[in-house]
Amino acid sequence: MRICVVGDPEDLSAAYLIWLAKRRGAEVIVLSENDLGLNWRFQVPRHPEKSTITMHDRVFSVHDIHGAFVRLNPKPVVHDRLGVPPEAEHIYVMERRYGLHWLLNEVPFPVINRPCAGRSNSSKPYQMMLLERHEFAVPRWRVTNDPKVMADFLAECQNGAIYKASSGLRSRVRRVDETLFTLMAEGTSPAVVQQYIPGFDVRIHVIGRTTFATQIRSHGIDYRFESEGVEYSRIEVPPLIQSLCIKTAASEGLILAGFDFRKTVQDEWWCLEMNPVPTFLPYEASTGHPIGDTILDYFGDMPSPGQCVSPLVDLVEQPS
Amino acid sequence: MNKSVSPVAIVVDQGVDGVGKGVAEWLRERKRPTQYILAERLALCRLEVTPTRAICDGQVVGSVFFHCHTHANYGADFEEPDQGFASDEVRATWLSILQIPSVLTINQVDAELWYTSAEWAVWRKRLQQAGVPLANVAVGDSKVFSTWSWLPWGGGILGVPGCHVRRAFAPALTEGNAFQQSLWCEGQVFSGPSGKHVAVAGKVMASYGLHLGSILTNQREEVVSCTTACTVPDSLTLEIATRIAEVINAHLCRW
Repeated sequence: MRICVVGDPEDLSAAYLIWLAKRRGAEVIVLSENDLGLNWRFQVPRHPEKSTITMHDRVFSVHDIHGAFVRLNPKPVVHDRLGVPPEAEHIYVMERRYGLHWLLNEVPFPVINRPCAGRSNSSKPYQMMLLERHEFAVPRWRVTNDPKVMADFLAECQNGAIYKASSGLRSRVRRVDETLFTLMAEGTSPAVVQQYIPGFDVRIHVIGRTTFATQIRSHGIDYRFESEGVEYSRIEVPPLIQSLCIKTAASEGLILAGFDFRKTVQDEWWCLEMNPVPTFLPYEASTGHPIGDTILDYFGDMPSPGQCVSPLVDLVEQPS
Repeated sequence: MNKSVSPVAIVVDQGVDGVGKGVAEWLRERKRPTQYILAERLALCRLEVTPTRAICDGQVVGSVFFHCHTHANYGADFEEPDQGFASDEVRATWLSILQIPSVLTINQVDAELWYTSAEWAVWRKRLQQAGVPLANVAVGDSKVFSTWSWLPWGGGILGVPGCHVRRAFAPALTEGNAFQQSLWCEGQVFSGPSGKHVAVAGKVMASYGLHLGSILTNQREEVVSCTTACTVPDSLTLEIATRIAEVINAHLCRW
């Protein structure tokens, strides 16, 4: 078994996958984006089935690689050794990135995930429309920069409303407050304002046709930014929700996806978003879900990990 | 559609040619409510967007002619450090407006096209699926003849670069060095080659929601690239603007 890890090998998920794959006896070719043209290169000739990847002096046919796991750094580096003039660096970075995209979109082996997949996550309102078309229940929302519209919407929301960025930028979700009203009154770009759903968060990771669900309880609005009092645990998911997640991820070309939900005490499942580059380490470490091993299993016949609980559970110090 | 409200046509324009202004003028002459917005001012429009409706500066949006590069700066009125963020937020919001079923959009594009700087690569995949004959392309450190050309992902055409650049840039190289551009609008080719392959490529673009675009072909009339971000020459401005305005007007008449 031979796999590639592409992009940023220092990304925690990528580093973990490398460790996990080696632990299971796989050969891992690390294709760092920053090192393209230095220690590795690739060819996708006019007959793409003849594509190769060259690492130092070893040439691999794409048919001898079983899969790739991708984590691209939003701010890749340009090595001095490449001799790119500083004024041309941003062009170089873009050209290199799109070249890499082409490779990852063209190769015949499974890629988690291909860059062309899951682009809807860059626009929250666009993605929420898409999720509704896939028959998820999505909390009511508006995108606005008009304080009056926001006030009217807020008045319709019995439990209040939250706001977040419209784009894919990782932003902290907050309750609608005076700060936002002030910003909008002064003139600002539009934001997503959404009905607040009382309950708790659930993250469902999809890998092909397998799902892992984690319930998250916290005291704040956005658990990702809470440093204390966040509890992760396993949770059962209704078959319909599970099936919707699998179908939606597949229809968007995603092998790995992270769906975020709010679940109410009445067992209503409200879908918030679908992440095409989901982190899975905190969920795996806290619950023992073998997400990393399941990603590796997707690539094909690999020696069994010998356990159905994540090895991270033993590595991470558990709170008493 | 709400018959009690007169919908507005929005023209978002970068001003690289006269088509945006031409469309706005045509519609205004026929008393259609029209907002002409320069792309760089877009962030300050007061918006309300829901899954089924958009309101821009107090008017219900019935149609959008989005005639600018999707990676334009939409937040020039903001302080420089905030312009990137404002642009991203505006870009994300307008992508959703373009999907509202009651809004006629020129061009209606999806997230994959909206967020790429290498539009031709996306079109190539779609044209290939539709069986359109495509020019050969090799990517990366591929051995090619000097008669090939480099298609930078960000647009344009250059000569084949040297070996070191090929290794580090992973450039896309295409066969040939003489290309022709066809300007395509509403199923008709207005300039350039108009052969069978161009016509089929146009149909594929239309099937994805496009009304205006350009198609680049090589000497064998194989399609090299397509783009929605096309600039219309002065000689065709009036004709293209009229065609687009008529389509928008017809949609607004049915509102």
